[in-house]
Amino acid sequence: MRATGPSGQIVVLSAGARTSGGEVGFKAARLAALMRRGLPVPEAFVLTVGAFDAFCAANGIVPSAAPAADLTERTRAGRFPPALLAELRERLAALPGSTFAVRSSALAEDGAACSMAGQLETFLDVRPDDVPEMVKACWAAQFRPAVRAYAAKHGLAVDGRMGVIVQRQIHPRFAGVVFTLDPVTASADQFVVEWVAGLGEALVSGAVTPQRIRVSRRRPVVPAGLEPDLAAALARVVEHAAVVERDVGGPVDIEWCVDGTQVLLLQARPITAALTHDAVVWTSTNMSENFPRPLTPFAWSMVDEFYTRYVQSLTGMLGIRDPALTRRHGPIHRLTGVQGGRVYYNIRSWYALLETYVPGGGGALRRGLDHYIGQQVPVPLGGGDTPAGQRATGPLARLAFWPRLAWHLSRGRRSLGRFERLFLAYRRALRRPAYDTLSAPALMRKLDDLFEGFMARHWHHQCIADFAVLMFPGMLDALVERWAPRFAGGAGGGSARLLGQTATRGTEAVGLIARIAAGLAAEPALLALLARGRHAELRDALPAPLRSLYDEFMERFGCRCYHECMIVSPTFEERPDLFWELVEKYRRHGARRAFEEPSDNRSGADPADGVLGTLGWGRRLVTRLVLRRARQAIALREQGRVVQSLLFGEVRKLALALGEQLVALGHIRRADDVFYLNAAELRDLCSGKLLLPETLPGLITLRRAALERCEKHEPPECFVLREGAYVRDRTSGSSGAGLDAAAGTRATLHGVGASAGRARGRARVILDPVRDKLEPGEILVARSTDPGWTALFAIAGGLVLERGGILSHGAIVAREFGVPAVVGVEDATRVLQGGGQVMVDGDTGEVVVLDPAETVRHHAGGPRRCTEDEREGMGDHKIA
Amino acid sequence: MKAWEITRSLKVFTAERAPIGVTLGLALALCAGPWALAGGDSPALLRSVAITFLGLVVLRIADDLHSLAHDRIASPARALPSGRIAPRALRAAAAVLLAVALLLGLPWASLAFGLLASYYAGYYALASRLSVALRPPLVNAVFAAIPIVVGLVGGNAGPPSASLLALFFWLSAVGHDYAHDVHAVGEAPAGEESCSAALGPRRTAALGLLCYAGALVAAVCAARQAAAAGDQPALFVVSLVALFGYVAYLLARLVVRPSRAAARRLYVSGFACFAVPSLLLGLDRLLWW
Repeated sequence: MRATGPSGQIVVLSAGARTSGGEVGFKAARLAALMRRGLPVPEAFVLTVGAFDAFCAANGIVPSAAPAADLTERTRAGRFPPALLAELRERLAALPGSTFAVRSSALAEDGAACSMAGQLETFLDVRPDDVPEMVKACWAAQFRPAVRAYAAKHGLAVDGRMGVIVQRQIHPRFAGVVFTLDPVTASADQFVVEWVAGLGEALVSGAVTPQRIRVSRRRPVVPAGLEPDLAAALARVVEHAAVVERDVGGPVDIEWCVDGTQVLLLQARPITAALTHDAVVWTSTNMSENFPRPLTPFAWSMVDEFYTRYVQSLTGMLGIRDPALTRRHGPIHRLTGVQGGRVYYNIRSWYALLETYVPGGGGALRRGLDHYIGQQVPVPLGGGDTPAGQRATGPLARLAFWPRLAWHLSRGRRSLGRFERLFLAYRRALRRPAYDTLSAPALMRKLDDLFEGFMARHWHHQCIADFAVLMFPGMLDALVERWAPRFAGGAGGGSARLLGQTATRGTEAVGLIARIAAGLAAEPALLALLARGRHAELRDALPAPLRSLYDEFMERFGCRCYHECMIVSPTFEERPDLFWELVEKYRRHGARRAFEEPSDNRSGADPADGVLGTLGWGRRLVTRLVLRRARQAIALREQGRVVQSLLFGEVRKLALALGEQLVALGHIRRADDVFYLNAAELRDLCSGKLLLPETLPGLITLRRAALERCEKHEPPECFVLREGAYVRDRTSGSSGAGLDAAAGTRATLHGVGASAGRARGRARVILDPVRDKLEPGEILVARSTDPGWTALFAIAGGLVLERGGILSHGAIVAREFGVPAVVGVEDATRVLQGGGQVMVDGDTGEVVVLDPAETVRHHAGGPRRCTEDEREGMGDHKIA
Repeated sequence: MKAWEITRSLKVFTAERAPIGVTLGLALALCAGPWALAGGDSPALLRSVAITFLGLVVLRIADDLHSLAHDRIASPARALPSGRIAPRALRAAAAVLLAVALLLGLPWASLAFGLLASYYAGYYALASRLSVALRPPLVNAVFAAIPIVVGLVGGNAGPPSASLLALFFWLSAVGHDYAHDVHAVGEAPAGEESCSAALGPRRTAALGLLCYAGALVAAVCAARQAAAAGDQPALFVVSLVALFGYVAYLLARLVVRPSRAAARRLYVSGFACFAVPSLLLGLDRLLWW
């Protein structure tokens, strides 16, 4: 059948039909787009805007000239032009079924600006003879006073330009709606699916209370307990919703139904209410890797300073010198924010900034950023976020951007090497004279100088690495998706498999610990000291070669700690016992030999060979080039992160020295109280500007209590708020996430496979690595990790992380160590806190709980931490 | 809006941003001098301190609400920018405090207080459009108002000495705002406006010095009037000479070599040089008059 009739006034919706919103209305155009995407949509045709024009011409109706009430009446009373009526009947005869659904599809309806939901008409179960009348009723409905008032309020033109969809009537078993953004909490972490038995009109009109489930975006598994047919249908609904959301480029709601066993999509529209042009989209994605807990005021002021300097370095490096970017409340100051005490990206501000870098070409960079940080929710660029810099960038700057970027990227390795040397030299100078001999103002000056003197001048080196990671892995994914689609797919895309094990600098610390552990094996006297925990004596008694290794470790990595960017955990310099604990574990069980010999998971073959072998020589050449760049980018970024972690370690060291001075001056009670004052307050205090320092202890007590409150609640990973609003602590109901207990003897958690291989062992949830101890061979289960955790990877049997994607630090280091890893496993630390046996499958992204009874018992009791007694009972388990 | 939410917001806010002990102490210091010159009784002093205390808390609330967008970035740990206090609840609390202050000041002081509240409502509405150099004299109007309000509460319609004290307070506060914000050219905070950047550091420091000089003249005239009336403001004069001498020294250094570190030293002494003499003027009255 032809898609368009001879008059062009009726268009049959099909995968091949070329339709535009201006011709058939946005609702119909979107249905056609769904068909083109291969999604299931009921058979239908559309009376185009041209059909309405022909109808008006035949009946002498001028929509812009007559009063609304008059138009309604005249439209209803009008007669179809004979040719149009004949064509309509012909199309009806060709549609399957005996009755039809007639739906409006106005030009203003379901658009990006507003939805017009419920304003226009839908008629169901219409007999063929009644269809022309119902079509007229749809046309007439747009002239009703209520619709006009709605249109006026939203600045829409109601000029009669409307399509009308005539669809096969379906009598579904179930019908419902799926939202990819929770309409109540505006959280994008879960899909909300509602449904009723039978037709969906009752649900849409609010006449009945529907059934509802929430399905995790990261782990889209429908909860157990539903009848299998329905569960399978709901799973398909969620799958389709994710596809539609990506295509539309933003959150959507979709009406769907189940006809027999087939899921059909009836309508899709962007969620317009939450995503207004000035709405802020907060996302923590890979941010939670560095900042998994609420930040202290001091840490936030450092983070804010860090990001401001970081982006200034980046803009400077790319030749963009626009004061509008750095103005107060300008885009740079709005890149991050605090919600519920935690750090979030303001993702639209980042997008706007990327637009500034490459005016008109920011889309590719946006996709790269999404890939880099693991942002899964598509977010349209906000209207209010276009910075002045975009206007200020002239054609010459646009031309110069790419060569400039290429120049910097080509010098990446040399640049990062220089960066590390510069930092170590700077730190040596900074530490003279020793911090404990300096006054509080002198320490504050040093702290300021760390940012103003070093970071402002040299941080662009690190930016190069980040920009490379932002570009190349995303590019690799795109190439694999286009040229080798069977290797693409999965949340991590094709690049996860190709990138394989990338050698990074992060493992050097592990190598040093392992060498010291090996050296001690031949020294029984020293081993005795180690066993008794007499670490100071042990250090002094070390033979020269081992002492040299120890000094090297402390010099290069002593400033590192767990959760480095949080500036709250003690460093190895502060707590050498943490270092010696690792030495003891490496000595007893042996570190994973990522740096010594190939592990079980390393076959020696490049994982990319399989993909490259399927490509022609031209494509293979390009893919290999991009692959090499992507691997290099990752290695460089990890190298940069080592410096970043040393910088934050130095900030902590300085802050604690400052805290000691302030304790001596009587301003605060404990040295670590310093973390509850922000940098501006400390500056005022040190310079005597603070009016009444006596009030500080009370203020610190208040802030400690506030932080503890924040610890108890974890806001969603991605959510939308209007500017200036705060996320509320709202429990959004069970997601059905976690353990599929119905599976019987085995239960499975799902995530993204980040490092290939399988490992079996006892799960050990580590929330605070200083307090919770990982035993060799155990499966490390954590919310996220950062470079400070690297030493633990050497003894971990496997890795399960709640957060992060394939480019997160945990994933990269796991691949390097050959530790099977699954990331993005929602609720893993809660579900696995029972500490049962699990099997981590890094190939499939599954974590199989081998003794679910134990785990379920704990899980059913709600959040609770593993007790010390339970931990005592856990033995060591070798990697399977 | 529930009463408990307003009360809780106020409690959290004052604990963090306007501790009662500190604000009350400041109110006492600022009221004592004008009260001494107005010749009011003890209840008048109590009323004046209460009104000033409430006024200072309301002003702090207004200031924090006004700078909310900035504080979300700079100080997100605070209760207001973190969302622990709803701006609406805090606005309601400020309205309640304002109403109590107006009741306490009936009739004339309420009128003055009401005018001041309206003035600040207008100021905060227009502040972002004003030149940064104009803000210190405008935002510190409250300091000029305190001696007038206290005089009215004391039953005295405002003798010339109250006006001189008003001038003393206001010029000191304006001078303080100009001086403590001075920074060298290279020390300008990224993305922020400052008088120092707008007028130049030396000129800003000199303007501060000029304001303090004017304040000193006003204070000396007030002391002369008090002495002429038979009072003995000895502690007032001694503290005035000592503190203004020190501030003049700091300001002279700032003019010669403007820097952020030098300006910060002025912060506490700049406040003290009008708050402490005012307190001591009250003490003078209790001791000698």
